[in-house]
Parts: sequence; structure tokens; C-alpha cells
Amino acid sequence: MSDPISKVAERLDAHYTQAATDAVPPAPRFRAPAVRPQPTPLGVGLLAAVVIGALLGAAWLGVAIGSQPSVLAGLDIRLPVQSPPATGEASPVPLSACPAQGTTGLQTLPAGCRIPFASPAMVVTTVAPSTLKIDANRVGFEHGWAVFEVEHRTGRPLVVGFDGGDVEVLGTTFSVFQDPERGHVELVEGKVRILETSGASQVLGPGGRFAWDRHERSSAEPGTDSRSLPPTAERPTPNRRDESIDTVAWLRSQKEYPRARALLRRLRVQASTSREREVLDYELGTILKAEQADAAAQCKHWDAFTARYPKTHYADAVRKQQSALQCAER
Amino acid sequence: MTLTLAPRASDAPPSPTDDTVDRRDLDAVYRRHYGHVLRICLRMGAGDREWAEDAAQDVFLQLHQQPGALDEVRSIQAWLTTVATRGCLRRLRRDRFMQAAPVRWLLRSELRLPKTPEDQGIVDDTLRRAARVIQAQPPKVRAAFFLYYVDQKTVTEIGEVLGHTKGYVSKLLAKAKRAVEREELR
Repeated sequence: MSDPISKVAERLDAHYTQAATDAVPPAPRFRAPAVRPQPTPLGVGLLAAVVIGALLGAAWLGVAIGSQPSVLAGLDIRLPVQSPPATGEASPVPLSACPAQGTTGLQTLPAGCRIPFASPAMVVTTVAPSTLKIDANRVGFEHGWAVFEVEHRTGRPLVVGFDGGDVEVLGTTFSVFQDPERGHVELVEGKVRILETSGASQVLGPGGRFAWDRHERSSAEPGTDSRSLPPTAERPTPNRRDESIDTVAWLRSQKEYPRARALLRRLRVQASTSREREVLDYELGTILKAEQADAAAQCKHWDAFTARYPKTHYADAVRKQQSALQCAER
Repeated sequence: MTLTLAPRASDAPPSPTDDTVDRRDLDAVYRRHYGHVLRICLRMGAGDREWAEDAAQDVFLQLHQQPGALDEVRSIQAWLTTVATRGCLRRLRRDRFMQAAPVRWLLRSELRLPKTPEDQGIVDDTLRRAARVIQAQPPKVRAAFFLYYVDQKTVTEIGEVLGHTKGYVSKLLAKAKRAVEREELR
């Protein structure tokens, strides 16, 4: 069968099952049945019901639930350990320590920090490096992954804006994840209202999740006009772009190459000049090299690079790469 | 939108290689069919090797616990396809439940984010978009998609694997097809 969908399906299957072909032949004998007890949904559901019942009972009896430590202590989100850049990987971005107190304005927070803010009254815990623009009543979530614990507010809600829309909160705990392509909001406790960029709104309860995918939505809404495009489609200000480039360097130093590539691609889309795109594309190639990507993929990238930028400043370096990879023979 | 599915041959006879293994010899069945089962699980687990190996192991564990399970089946591979697909669907359902925020909070377990196409090292743009589109589909849609477009199963056969009617399988396939066509993947 040769229709385009079959071709796509077969290529995807081939990629997924590459590991399977490596695995054949398997172990000569069937492994002795190691029975791994796994909690069943029913069992976990019963356990959850019992624990929730106990908590509600405790609250009813007057136990001061409010005096318990933050719900984040129980959420047990694994925070990446900050480590200095690997030796030999020069990073222009010095690893900054977690700020003791958050301030308003645009800021990039390193991963693994728990930062209290006075205005708006909240605590932000960063799971991944995150860039936020903070005002008294609005937090613009540029990218990253963070958990927000917002103190109860009377009157005007706090708005946390991300690419998929706005989250209106009056006091709750929720996490926001966002990368260049997608994002999601996950509610731990309380209630929030999501105002999507399309104008639709929905209310999330505890455990609720609102996921957003730039690609999916834009394809689902072919008539979307520029007013409803996500903020990332805007041209970045020089400061924001510089910070993103710093983030790429930081991700690279942490060997988080897929994320670095994703961010670079986002920056490339936003780049306004050919020269900027050239630099970003070159950087993308060096990341492919650093992560020791498939030689064919690297060759493909450099071939496209030379075709796109025939008068590139990096001509010598690219030729050297192509020669090392023996691209001409592929 | 109407779904036009290419005509498929009727149920294919069981592969002759199926009969060359002693159905009671679990080692032989395992050696011959492990790759096939792992492949199904890798698709369902979006290329997550560790997840797929666990799921594949469960399939053979199930076989080990039911020694005569293969005695009556017409094709071992078809039987394993059904068991592996259904097992993976069950596992995905359980994973989704276990990843719900309240459950994680109660069990103090970690959030396991699905691997993005970038994490999987997919460099080709078309393939990356395809992976994103397919991974965003519900598990049953993914299963039907691969069974139809890669394994060349008929709608009836997919219905038997998933335990659904032909009509429902057609709906699943139409959904997958719409999603892929929307992306204009070439």
C-alpha cells in the first residue's frame, strides 16, 4: 500500500520498532515469571477513597488542615538537581542561585527553586528552568515548568497567562508546563478557570488538566486570525530572545539536547533576519553533533544548511563537519 | 467527512511458520514471537523501550500462566497480537489513572511525562509531526491506525483484536485519518 498515510505510518512504526529489531533475537529463554505486584486501579481507588475519607473526617473533627505543610510536600515532584556545567562545555550563562524573594518583572528562574513572592502573594516552585513575567495581578508564563501556590485573594483574581490561554485563580495550587510546542495546566487543589485564546472557558477541579498543543490547535482552527495567535508567535523583544539563547546554552551545558533543539527551533521561527536564522541553524547542527545524533541526520542538516545559506560565514566549519561525517558518500 | 478505506483481503490464513513451533514449548514461542510482541508494545508505548519490554513480558507471563491457551488458536501470531494490544491498552489506562494528580499525591509517586518526539530523537520534521499527531490520539485510535496501515489488517480483524464492532473500528480509523490529513504530512 503506498498512500501517504500508510507511508507515514510505516515510517513511524519503523522508528518506534528500531529498538525491537535490535532486540531480536531475544534472550534464549523465557524469563522466569517474576510476578511484579502492581496496584490495580480498583485497589488504588479504594485506597484513595479511604485516605480521602480519613482526611475529610479529620477536617470535620477540627484538625487544622491549614496548618499542614504545603501540599507540594506531598506532591513529590522530582526536582532536577542543579549541577555546574559539564567540564569542557563552556556555558556563557553562570548558574545563578535561587533568589530568596521573587520580584516583579521579567525573570528566568533556575530549576529546583522555591521562591516566595510578596506581590502577588504566591510561592513558585520551578521544576524546570522557567521564564516568567510577573506583575501584581498577572503572571506571564513564557516557558518552563513550575508549580504555583497562590494565596487566597479577595476581589480581583490573579491571571497566569500561558500560550494556550489564561488561568484565573483566587487561591489554589496548580502546575503549569510549557515548551515551544505545547503546554498543560494541572490543578492540585482548589478551582481555576481557564480562558482559552479562542475565547472558550472551562473550569478545572482538583486533578483536572488542561492541555494545549500549538500544532494541533492551529490545524484544528484554520481560520484563526492573528489576534488569537499565541503570544510566542509575536516577535520577541531583544531581551527575551537573548534570555532564550542563554537558556539554550544552559540546556546544552546540562546535556538536555532535545529541549535545546526544541527551543532553538522556536527561536528560529521567531527570527526576523536571515543572519539570525543562519546562526540558529548552525547552532542546531552543533547540538546534533554534541548529542551524537545519527550521521545521516547530521548530513541532512548540513546539506540543507549549505543549500539555504550558500554564502554562509560558517562555510569552512560546515565543510569540515561534512567531511568528518563523510556526507558525500551517503 | 467520509472515510474511504482501501479494500483488504479477507482474513489471511495463519502463517505456516506458526505451525513449526511446538505450541506447548513456551521457550520456542517466546523466541519466535517476542520481536512481534515487543514491536506492538513499542508502538503503543510511543517507542518507550522500558515500558514496551514490561508489557511484552506480561504477555508471555499470561501465556505461562495458561499453559493450554494456544492449543485451540488458529494463529499464534494473531492471538499474541490480540493479547499484546489489549494488554497495552489496559496498561495505558492504568498509567493514566496512576498519573492523575490526586493519585500521585496519595501514593507519593513521580509524574512521568510522556516522551516528546524531540526526546525520542526524531530529527525529520515530517516524522516528528506524525509522531506528535499519533501520540495525541487515544490509545485505541493508535492501535487501530497501526494495525490497519502497517499490519494491513482488515477492519473485521481489527474489530476482533480490539473487541469492537466494524462500525466502531471504522470510526477509530476515520479519526486517525482525519488527524493525519489535517497535518498535511507528506
